[in-house]
Amino acid sequence: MARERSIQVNRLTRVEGHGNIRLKVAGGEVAEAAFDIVEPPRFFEAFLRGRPYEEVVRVVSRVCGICAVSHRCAGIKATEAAFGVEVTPLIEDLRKLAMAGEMMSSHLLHVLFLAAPDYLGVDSVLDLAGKRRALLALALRLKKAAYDVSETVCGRHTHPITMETGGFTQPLDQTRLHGLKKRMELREGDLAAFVDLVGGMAFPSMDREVATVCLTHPHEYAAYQGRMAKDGEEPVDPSDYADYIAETVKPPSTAKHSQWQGENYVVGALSRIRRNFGQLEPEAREAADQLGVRASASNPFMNVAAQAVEVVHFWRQSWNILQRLLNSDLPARDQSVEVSPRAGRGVGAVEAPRGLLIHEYEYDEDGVCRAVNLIIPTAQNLASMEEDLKLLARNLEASTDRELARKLSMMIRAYDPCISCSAH
Amino acid sequence: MMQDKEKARVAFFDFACCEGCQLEVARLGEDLLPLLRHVDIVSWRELSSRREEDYDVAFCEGSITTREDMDRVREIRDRAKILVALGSCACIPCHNSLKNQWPMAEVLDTVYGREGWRFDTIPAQPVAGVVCVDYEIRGCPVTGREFLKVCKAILTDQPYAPPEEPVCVECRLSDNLCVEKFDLCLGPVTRAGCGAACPRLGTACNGCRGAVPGAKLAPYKRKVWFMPREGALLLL
Repeated sequence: MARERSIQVNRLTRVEGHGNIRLKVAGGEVAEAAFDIVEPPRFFEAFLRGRPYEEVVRVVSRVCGICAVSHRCAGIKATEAAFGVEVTPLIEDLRKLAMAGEMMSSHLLHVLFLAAPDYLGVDSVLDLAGKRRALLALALRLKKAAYDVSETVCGRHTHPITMETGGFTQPLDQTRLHGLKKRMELREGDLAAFVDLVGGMAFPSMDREVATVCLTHPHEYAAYQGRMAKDGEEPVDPSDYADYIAETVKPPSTAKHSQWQGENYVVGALSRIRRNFGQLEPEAREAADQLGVRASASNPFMNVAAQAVEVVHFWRQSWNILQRLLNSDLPARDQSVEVSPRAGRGVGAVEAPRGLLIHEYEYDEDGVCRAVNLIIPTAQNLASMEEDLKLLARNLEASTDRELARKLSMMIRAYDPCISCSAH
Repeated sequence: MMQDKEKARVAFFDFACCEGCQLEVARLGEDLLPLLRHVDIVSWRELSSRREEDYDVAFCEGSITTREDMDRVREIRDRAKILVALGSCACIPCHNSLKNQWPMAEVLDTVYGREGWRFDTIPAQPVAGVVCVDYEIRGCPVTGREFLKVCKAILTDQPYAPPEEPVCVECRLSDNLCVEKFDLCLGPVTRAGCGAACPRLGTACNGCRGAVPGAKLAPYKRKVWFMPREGALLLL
């Protein structure tokens, strides 16, 4: 390796938000490897204090333009936990459906729009508008279909409208669900084409040991609900998250770094697949075979392929939920549950597209929020991302600065960081 | 390419926001393709690695909340012929202004504890609080439809004024049941343009597009957070 070198990538492109890669090699050793989050925070944890619960859940989805449904769900679950509200299985199914739509749209955005240009040799998918228009059209069609799922359930994908504490503001509409099913049928063929496309991407190899954390549930591939678990350990209740996850402030990064009992860890598609592989839909397991995604999380670049596998899984899961809703005798009236505020603390945990997301609120007896804590997936990944920068720089010590900067950028991008979220 | 020289060179930038408005633009999908015949997107950090600093039209999403961002937006203003504030964070500045009710030292302390002093934050301002803005597209998030309308106005050198009538007009036109009897709805005092997106689906309007000019806000005082600027934020 060049004994002295320094790489700086400012405002990394094709990621959500503002982050800088900073790497210094001195005396042949990697002296510094950082992914600085330079996103201006919006201070949700400060300004949600003093707001009524109805507003808290509406505003909190604004943390993220990509995973707004996950934030809304985590917020609603935390609020319902604080007030002791239990919703019906029908409402849970609808929430799962909305989350599946978001999981697909977020993954498709990352795989096809943010990561794919690295493998297709273009600056942006928009550059495909000329010669490779078919590919661009496929990407746009699939993305639209995924949006359609969450939009049908909650009125709007970014930011959801009808999804509230206790249920939905409007009763279910069978006709709309039928329409959605018909539109999904039309896109079935695109799904296989998508997996083939990802199969053609040559992911760089990398191998490291890493701890993984995700939700896990005995009866389903966990996304909407479950207990949280580190690989190889017994699941624990998310409401005890503070006993396991510690956040530290690392200036100049406006996002905090998390550790699981003192250890760096990763969350996201690779972590979920590693733990819950057996619960993937059979078709998604086939896609995993095709793409070489195993129940291991040793190569961060493979996160892109893992997300593609989850697109197949959540497509099938959406389909199954839709079938179930259409076959059941849907009540004509709204099934929303009455919500009466009471003083208390509540924790809501979901698997957002990028991994474990935890919201914690404290309410007073009028349902006015007194304290907030948000644990964001990307913030949980930051420490591991920096470790991986270091390792990759060592692996690529013979490469030119330009090539090294390119690979480091690709690796950070493969994590699919959601930086606005992480700084919130 | 000869043809590209005639195209307007467009760039996207963002400040404190969720980037949802840029994604609404990207979500136009195939409807965005005809626009690409007239514009060349030379810089869009979120979606492209192309980064050129010579542009005609700059779309800026998000609020200005740091001194560094004040400089950044001034620099963008200097380079761009036309600057568009994209989304309510950039226009009024929506949810971001909720932090303005506290001293900045306190919000820093709440989030970062003892390390708070090491970060910079100023009260959230709209882009127009720092530089001159030529066009505004409001909404949380914006609609792709309105974005295209504004693009058309820019390309044909026409002015564009965001709708000034209240949300109730669009709400009644779409034959909705009024939600006001269940919930405090800001429809009567909030600018339209969203097609009454929230009341249409049974939720109260939370005023994301800002107040209509001359709105009587007194009845809402207790539940609403106001910004001093005209037509500024209302939030339920």
